[in-house]
Amino acid sequence: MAMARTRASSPQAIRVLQALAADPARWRYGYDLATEVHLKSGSLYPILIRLADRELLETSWEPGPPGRPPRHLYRLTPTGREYVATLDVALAERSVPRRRLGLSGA
Amino acid sequence: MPSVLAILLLIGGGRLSVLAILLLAGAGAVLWSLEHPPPDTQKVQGDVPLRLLQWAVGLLPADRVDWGQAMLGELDRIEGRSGRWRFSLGSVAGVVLLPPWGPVGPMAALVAVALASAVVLDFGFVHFGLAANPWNWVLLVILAALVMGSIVAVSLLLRRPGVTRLGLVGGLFVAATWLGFSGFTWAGIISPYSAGAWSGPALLIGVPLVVGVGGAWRSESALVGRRAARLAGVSAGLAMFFVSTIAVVAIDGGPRDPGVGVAGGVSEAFSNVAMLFLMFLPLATTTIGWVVVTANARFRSVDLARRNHDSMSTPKAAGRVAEGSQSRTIGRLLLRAAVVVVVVMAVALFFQAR
Repeated sequence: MAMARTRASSPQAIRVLQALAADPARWRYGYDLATEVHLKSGSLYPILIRLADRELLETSWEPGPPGRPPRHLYRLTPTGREYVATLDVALAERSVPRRRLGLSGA
Repeated sequence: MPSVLAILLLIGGGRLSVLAILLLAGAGAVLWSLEHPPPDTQKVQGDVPLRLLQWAVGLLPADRVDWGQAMLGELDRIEGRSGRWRFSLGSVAGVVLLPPWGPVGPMAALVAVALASAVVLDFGFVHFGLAANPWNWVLLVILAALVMGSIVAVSLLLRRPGVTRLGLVGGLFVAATWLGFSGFTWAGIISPYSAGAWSGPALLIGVPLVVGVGGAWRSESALVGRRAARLAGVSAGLAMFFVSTIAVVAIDGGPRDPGVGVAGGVSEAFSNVAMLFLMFLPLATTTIGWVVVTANARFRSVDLARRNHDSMSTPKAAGRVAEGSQSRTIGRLLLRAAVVVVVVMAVALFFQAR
């Protein structure tokens, strides 16, 4: 669990985490997620794999209609939600000085 | 295909006739094989993006297979050709670049060989002042692309089960044979054909045939045998390219035409060894290895079908056939290989004589 906190996430991974955190209880499809965060599948899946390895993401299978493959579903684990919350705080703290600078410059 | 061959012949002159024959033979064999699949083959269905992704998913290690299935599940729901292509190509790139990139030891060794080649090339580039000619920069980019391509190919092949040991042993055999033909001299490494008129066909046809026979004999399946032949060709090519770059630098590019300076000679020697070891050698080994392994699998399946048919009524006879089949398979394999050697060498010599 400590690993999840110590390893820095890439901007793309943060976008994926935030998209998942928008409705944490909802299961999401990979393609929908890729479309929402404007990531190619080749970038999205390695991110999802890393997040799942860090136990920030849980996965499930949705059975498909007969003769068609099942679909993989994703949502944040409680640890993942906690991690996104700490990320939000960190991002907000980082953005405060920029806003102040912006106001003084205006 | 004919236009590609014409271009290759135009670029390389008569020396490329062997390559042209190999390409023709390989293309013909592949086309014939596609037209006549074995009777027990399951027909692959689906569009190209699906088949491409299915191929890439096969590269994933056992603990990542679920993720490959996830990608296939998503692709199944995507409508529209461009969307499917984009998703498939993106996923393939993700799978190829996703670690692990094959067994650590062999992969590290081959990457080290490739990096060492790059260091020697860069040294030669600076030492002989090749940077002054813009065409040498083009050459450098092409060489970098060929080396990178070889490394990616090696990484993809090393991820396949059962291929590593057989392929690398084959690669060592190929590299050792080429070195043997060079007489272990720098000049010999740059132009191994100088050992005799028969050395070209022996190296570009005979050695790959041995690799193909080894792949057919020692592999669990035709698929593994073909991959092992590919790995043997590419890994041997990388190793020989490394040794040959040292040779080029050590003897200032070797013999050159009158009026050509040292820089020109070195540049030409670099391009020659790159073409020989990063293109000819892997292509010859892959093509001939493919033909031998596939032909053997075809004959074996026909034999098996015939034997099964015969043994339906006599189980005792079937048992005897099974006992003797192993020794006969090796004998037939060698006989077929010999026939292929004779035919291909005859064609090659005919073209060379012209």
